[in-house]
Amino acid sequence: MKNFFKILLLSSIIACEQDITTGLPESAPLVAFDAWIYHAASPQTIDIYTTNTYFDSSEPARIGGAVVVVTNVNDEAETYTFAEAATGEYVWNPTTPTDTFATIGEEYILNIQISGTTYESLTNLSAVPSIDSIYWRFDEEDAFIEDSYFANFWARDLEGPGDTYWIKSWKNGELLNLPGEINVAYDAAFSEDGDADGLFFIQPIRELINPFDFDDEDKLISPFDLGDSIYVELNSISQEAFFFLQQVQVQTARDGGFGELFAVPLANIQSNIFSDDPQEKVVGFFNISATSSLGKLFTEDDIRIID
Amino acid sequence: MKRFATLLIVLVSLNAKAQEKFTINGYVKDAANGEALIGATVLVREINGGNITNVYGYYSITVPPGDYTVEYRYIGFLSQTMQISLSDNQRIDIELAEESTQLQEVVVTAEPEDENVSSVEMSVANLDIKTISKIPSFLGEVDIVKSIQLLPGVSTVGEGASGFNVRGGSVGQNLVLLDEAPVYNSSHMLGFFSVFNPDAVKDVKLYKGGIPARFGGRLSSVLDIRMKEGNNKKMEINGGVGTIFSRLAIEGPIKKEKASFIIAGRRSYLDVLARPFTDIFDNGAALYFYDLTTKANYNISDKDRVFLSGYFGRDVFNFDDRQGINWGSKTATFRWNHLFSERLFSNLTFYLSDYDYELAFGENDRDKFEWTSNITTYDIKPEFTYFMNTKNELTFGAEALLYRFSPADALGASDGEIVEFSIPHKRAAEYGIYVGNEQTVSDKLTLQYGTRLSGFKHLGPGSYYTLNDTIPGFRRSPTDVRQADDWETIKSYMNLEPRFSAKYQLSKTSSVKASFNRTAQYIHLVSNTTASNPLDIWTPSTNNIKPQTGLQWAAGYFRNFKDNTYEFSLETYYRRTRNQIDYIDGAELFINELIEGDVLAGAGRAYGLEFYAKKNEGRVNGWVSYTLGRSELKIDGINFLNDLENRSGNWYPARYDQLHNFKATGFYEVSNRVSISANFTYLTGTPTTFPTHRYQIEYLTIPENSANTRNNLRIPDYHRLDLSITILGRAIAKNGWVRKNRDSLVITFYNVYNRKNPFSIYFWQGEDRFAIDEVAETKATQVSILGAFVPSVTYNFKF
Repeated sequence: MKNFFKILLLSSIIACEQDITTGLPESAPLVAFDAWIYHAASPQTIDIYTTNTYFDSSEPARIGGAVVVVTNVNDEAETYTFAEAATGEYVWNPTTPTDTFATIGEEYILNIQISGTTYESLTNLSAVPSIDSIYWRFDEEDAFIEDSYFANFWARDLEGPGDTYWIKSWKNGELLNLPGEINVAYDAAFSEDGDADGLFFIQPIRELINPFDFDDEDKLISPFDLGDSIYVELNSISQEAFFFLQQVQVQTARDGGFGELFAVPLANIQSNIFSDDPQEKVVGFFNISATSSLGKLFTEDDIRIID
Repeated sequence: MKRFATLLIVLVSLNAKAQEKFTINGYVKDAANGEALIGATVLVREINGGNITNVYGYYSITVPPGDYTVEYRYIGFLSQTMQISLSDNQRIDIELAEESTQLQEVVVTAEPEDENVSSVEMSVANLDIKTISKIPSFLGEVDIVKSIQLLPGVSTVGEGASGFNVRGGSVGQNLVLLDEAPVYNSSHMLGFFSVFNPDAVKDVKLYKGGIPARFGGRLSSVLDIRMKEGNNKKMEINGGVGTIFSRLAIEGPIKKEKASFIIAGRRSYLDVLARPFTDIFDNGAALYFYDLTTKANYNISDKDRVFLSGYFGRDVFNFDDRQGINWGSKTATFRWNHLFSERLFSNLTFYLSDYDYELAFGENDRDKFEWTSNITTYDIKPEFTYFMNTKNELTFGAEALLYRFSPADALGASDGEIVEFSIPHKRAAEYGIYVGNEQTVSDKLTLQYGTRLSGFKHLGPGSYYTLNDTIPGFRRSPTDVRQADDWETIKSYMNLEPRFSAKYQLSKTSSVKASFNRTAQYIHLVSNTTASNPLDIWTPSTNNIKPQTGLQWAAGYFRNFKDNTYEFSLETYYRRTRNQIDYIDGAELFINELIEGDVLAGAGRAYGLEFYAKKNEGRVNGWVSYTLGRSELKIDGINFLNDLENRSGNWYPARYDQLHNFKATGFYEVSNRVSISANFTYLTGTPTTFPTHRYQIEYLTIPENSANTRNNLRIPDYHRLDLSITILGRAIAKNGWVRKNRDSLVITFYNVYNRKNPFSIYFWQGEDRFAIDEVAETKATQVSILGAFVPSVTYNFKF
């Protein structure tokens, strides 16, 4: 992690930035689907709307009147219907307290009908390992960091190559939602080449749950102090969703400055939802995750020597 | 029968004897240091014709026996005239003395004054090292590549970009040669400085079009840089101490007038200077570059001369003693000039070139990542020039290269476990054979024509893949993989490259020229970023990646005014190219064995009008160049707009497309010792891909270009003014003695009005996190690399 700080320092010598306002080329909006849902005994929501222009962060126009159904590929009887709770917001409600959405190990088709056009997608729901524990590692102050505590979560990738995960973390109730904090794993490493099936998640992934914030002198502030709390969520995602999130990170995590010399140009991310009209492109993604989570309050007993 | 045959033979030989011609040949050199003068004119008045010395300073003129007045000329030097009586071949080696100038008129060109009008070469720019030294440059350091960027048709995408663009071609399409050896990355420090040490450079020639048959391997241009041989009369020391780096060049005779050497080195020391002010550099961090250019030559005899040149350079960005990026090249060239006869000049070149880059991250051996990439080239190149007669100069030769590509040798350690993932090495062979002739058809019409036959073989050992066909723009996957044996030909390609140039003299001071050339390029610089950078990868053509080919037509009008004081030209070009490489959205270029699956190929076109006006003499001189040009690509899978089914592409501007390219450079001799120069550059902003919309998935805000366009908008225009003042040291010291040290002080002001020229614009949500019930705000930010006023001082010395 330290090398990141140094790159930033070098970059401040040579590169400078300024925010600008600019016009955008006109083009037609697209239909967007947020169909990222969870294997849980709670209501699941799918949102359908049209995209805003790039600088517009207001509520997008929602699309009502759609028929939204998720069906098990191998068992047509296992169907989940999403009813329109508000315009553009389609909700599945569990009928009993133990009614969970979808079954682990199964494949599901999403079928949406809007004004005569059908949109479909396919995904699978995989199991997720539990998070065994969370400990903190101490690192002494130097030119780049103050005395710091880095949280590490311990979980073991499930046996069998090709398990993909998305790890989210909250510090003191606040989600770490910067693009650089998107933390995805292929087995226990960053990619298939990592050859990390069945291992504990590797160190960089374990520590990506920490916030990396800097003070005015560009020195790293300790991610956690005694008394802070952390909450980590480990979600299983389909392999397609893994590549999708990797692409999202490439497109949204812009380091700026000197790093722009090495930045790739903007590219669209392929959705896994398709319209039956071959001339129509949609954006969004369909994925069902199983989740395991663990929260911890940081006390002195939680400090460990971690190599 | 026998008697008839004998009679015929006797008659023929008698006839031949009557028409027998003799050759005047030799070398033209600089009297002060023995350097060969490239492009010197050797004019035989009686036939109103002659020769221009070649890159080794050699000339050869064949005429019938008789009395002749031969004039040797080179601008900035005193001409010499020889009266000769030719009754046999004569070898005349001449040394010309530099003009001692009272009123320090700046030498702006090295060719004969009317070269631009009378030479058949077109689309060629010759820059003399003296001119280059006067142009203000970044941080006071004279730079070859920055100087050629002031010529029409040549550009760059801005500070931070490695390399240069010629007539709308990409950076990887320029053949950059240093004493015949190719240079894969001509920049240090991300384009701020080139790898060529001006203390070691003698001659710089850029071919933008009308490329002669002896050059091949790249599509757009040839930058032919010749090093000095080294003063073969006395020791000479040149150097400079500047703000960012210092240089030292030592040259001298090994054996007076027979052998000499030159060693020139430079090293930057920004990190050394900054050390007292910051502690970033305390634990092994470093930011520097160095280069060492060396050469030795030996005149074995009148007929033989050998040269040995070497270049070693490196750029280092280290974050600490374990982590960082570095890259560099090493080349070694051996050449042998041999005169088979007075009319047959030959040069044999052998070279070995190695270009590599490394990346290392990780604080300790348990968690680290190291990657190296490398391209090694071996080459042999025999070349011949046959000076047939005063109207025909024939060139022919061949070239064979062997490449070894190591795209990635990588090692990752995580929690102590080591994983090696490397992409297998690739081997390839490239060859060419050419023949050409420069023919003076009449005193008005000269033609240069020839053809090159080039070929390429992608060789084993290694795996090679057959890829599936898919909608363009999506990754292609392998459907079959085969193993090739050592040296087995996986795929071979061949191209015929005809070349043609013509010049028609309208009058003594004006001419029109036209040229046509077909070129082929077998290795490709793979780059996905806004500008070329050191991590770009060179990749060979394979069974899935075809060679690039290009056809360029150019025509121009050239005129000199007022006895060659003013030069003017207007040239237009059109180049059509095939198999231009670009990438799918989301391409993985880094350590990807299946990179071929992410590559898309299509067509390119570049066209433009170049205007150039230059004042050669006088206390105020300089030039203005303006290019109006377009460079576009059309690739299926990119910029496919509404065609979602087949994704067939529409023309889109290349990332180095700049409609207006205007440069003005001026020099003013204030006095004997003080001169000022200025240059102003204006470039249209380059295009970039802007998003049009955004969408949310959970808390993620994702950009989208709903129209499927590429390079749909432009960043703001680029313009910059630089100034410099050169103060020459006194020639005579205060006590009356002539000073041995010819020194000077150069003060430069880069980007005088402090404009933050944009390098790129990127779209993001800012650095702050947002609350759980909010969505991210998105914005656009413009990045400038070195968008600041930078003054500097350099002290140069010469003994």
